[in-house]
Amino acid sequence: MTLAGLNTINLSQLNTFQQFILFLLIILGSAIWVSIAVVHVRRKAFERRFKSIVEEERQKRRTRNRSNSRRSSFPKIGNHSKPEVDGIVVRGSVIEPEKDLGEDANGNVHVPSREIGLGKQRADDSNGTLNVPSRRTSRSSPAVEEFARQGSLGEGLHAGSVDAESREPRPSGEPLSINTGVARRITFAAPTSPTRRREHGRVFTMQGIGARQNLLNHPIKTPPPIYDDPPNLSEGAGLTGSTTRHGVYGFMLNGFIGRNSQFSSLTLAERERLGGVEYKAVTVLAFIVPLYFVLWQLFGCIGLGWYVANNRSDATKVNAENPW
Amino acid sequence: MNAKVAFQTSDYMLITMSLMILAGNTCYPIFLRLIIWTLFKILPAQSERWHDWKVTLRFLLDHPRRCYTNLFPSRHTWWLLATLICLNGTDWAAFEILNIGNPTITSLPHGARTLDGLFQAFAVRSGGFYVVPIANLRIGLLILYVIMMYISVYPVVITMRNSNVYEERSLGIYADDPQAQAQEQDPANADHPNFLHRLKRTMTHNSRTGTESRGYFVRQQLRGQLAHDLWWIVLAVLFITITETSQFDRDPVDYSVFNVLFEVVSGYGCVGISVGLPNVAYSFCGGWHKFSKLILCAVMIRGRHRGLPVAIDRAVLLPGEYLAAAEEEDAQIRLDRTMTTIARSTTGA
Repeated sequence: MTLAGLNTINLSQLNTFQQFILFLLIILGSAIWVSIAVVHVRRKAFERRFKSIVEEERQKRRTRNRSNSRRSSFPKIGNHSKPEVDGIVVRGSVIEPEKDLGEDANGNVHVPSREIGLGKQRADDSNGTLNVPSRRTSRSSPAVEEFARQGSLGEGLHAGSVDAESREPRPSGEPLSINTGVARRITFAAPTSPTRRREHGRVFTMQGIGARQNLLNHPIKTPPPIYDDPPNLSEGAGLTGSTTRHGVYGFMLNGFIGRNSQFSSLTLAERERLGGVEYKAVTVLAFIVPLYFVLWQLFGCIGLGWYVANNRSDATKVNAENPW
Repeated sequence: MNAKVAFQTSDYMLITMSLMILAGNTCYPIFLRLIIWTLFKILPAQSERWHDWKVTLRFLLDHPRRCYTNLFPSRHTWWLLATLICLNGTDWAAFEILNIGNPTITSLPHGARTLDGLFQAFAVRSGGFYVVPIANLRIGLLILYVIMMYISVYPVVITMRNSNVYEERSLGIYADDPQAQAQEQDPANADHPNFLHRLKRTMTHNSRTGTESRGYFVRQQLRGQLAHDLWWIVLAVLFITITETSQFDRDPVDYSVFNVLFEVVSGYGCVGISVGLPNVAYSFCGGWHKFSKLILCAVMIRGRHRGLPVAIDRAVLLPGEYLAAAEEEDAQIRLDRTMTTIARSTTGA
């Protein structure tokens, strides 16, 4: 079953049933077979998840209609099912100009103190409100205008342009403003440290590389993100006018693709769409991989069997043996 | 596993089996990608009915590691193919060269000899068949086979680990954020646009952080994997030779330490070729005591798990919100680190 081909007895002397059992075990242990199982399990998981997403959407629509009145005091940070918006410690403080700082009515903002290189200029308006230029997409421009109306923001505020990908000019007074080109920032509900414990030697734990159960870096331990979920989002308004990136997958994706196919800076809606595409891809694979597996075996065995029967009929049965 | 010595001269059989060995194992990601790419090309472009499938296939080709463990992006697949050709080519050349003057091989006709060499090269990576009695090959070739069996699984595994979506998370090392870097370098180099200056910046940056290049990640993976594997083999050989002492005393040539090592590496790499014993039709380990066989079983099971993806490979995790959270967090971490490094280097430099 391990597909190592060492044998301790003369295989030709086994009877057919034993050979058949061996054959079955070899098939079951094959790497491709195992990956078929993985693909099918994931496909089922996707389907279950979509059912629950549809439920969530329905619930959200119900609560959204109810909570619309609360919206004016929290212009930036969406997701109103998480009431702890005020107390959020936002990571990534270096990227001052584009950060979503939760701000309640008093202008209290919790900002972590690791201000590296940018120093003092961030929030120094005379009135102490935040100088936060927004480079959001068109979806959030109503929110930005609301914000501008609220506080007395000075020259630093650039209203969100329709074009999501435009790099905003640096606000005045910033010594070093690094435009990272990020269209949106996703904040997190709880601070996390950048490096959790490194994996130390696993030699004697009898587990494979990365196979630990208590992996501290496991994605499931990531704190859930808070997506910006602007109130006036409608499908049409969001999609028209913003430059489309990655439209080749059938929908607009205004995030970034990093190394190793990591997508970042996507909204919740885009994540869902991405999930849909992944689900379809998994379905295609769930069809192709078993087909590949079966057809190679079948044609190979038939070909060899025919060859042996015709040319080398004195050899033992070939059909019970296979290369992997 | 099977002695195909009887089929030394049957070309069709050897070619078919070579193809099957490749398709089932090392060449599987390559063949799979080829099939998907062909499907993508033959679907009509503008048709409404197939548009959905075309989009899906495009996604599968561009971001395969989000969906499946054994399908790699284009660059990785080409690299895998190159490695395959390189390793098998070495095996094949060594077979022909190192067996000059070896009567077992020179008794075969020329055409059969070359084909046998090629087949043996394929088989030694994962097939476990042998068309020539292994014990009669030259010793240098056998050592080469040991090395090849040990690293047989590495090309696919390293590629799998290196293309893992959460690779940085699994290693605890983060690459630099490319957008942030580009931004930082542009204004600084506005007045020094020449190549040398940019190169100097990149290299000093590299040496300071050391986390940027893909090569670095590959080296980390290799190091982890190599260190991880060796202990099992060493301990297994030790215990097996201790158990087989009586047989060694009786017949040192057939029960030599090297033969034991060959067997253990063959089992660990899940290859299955064996030097065998004279006059019997089974592998060398058939002549061992029960305890040694048990040890070999443990080695085989452990060796089978070498080719598994990391636990936090996105293609094996069930879908959920936490995956999106992890990606965003990774991007955030990467950005933070890049900013820190840039700031540190600008203030320091």
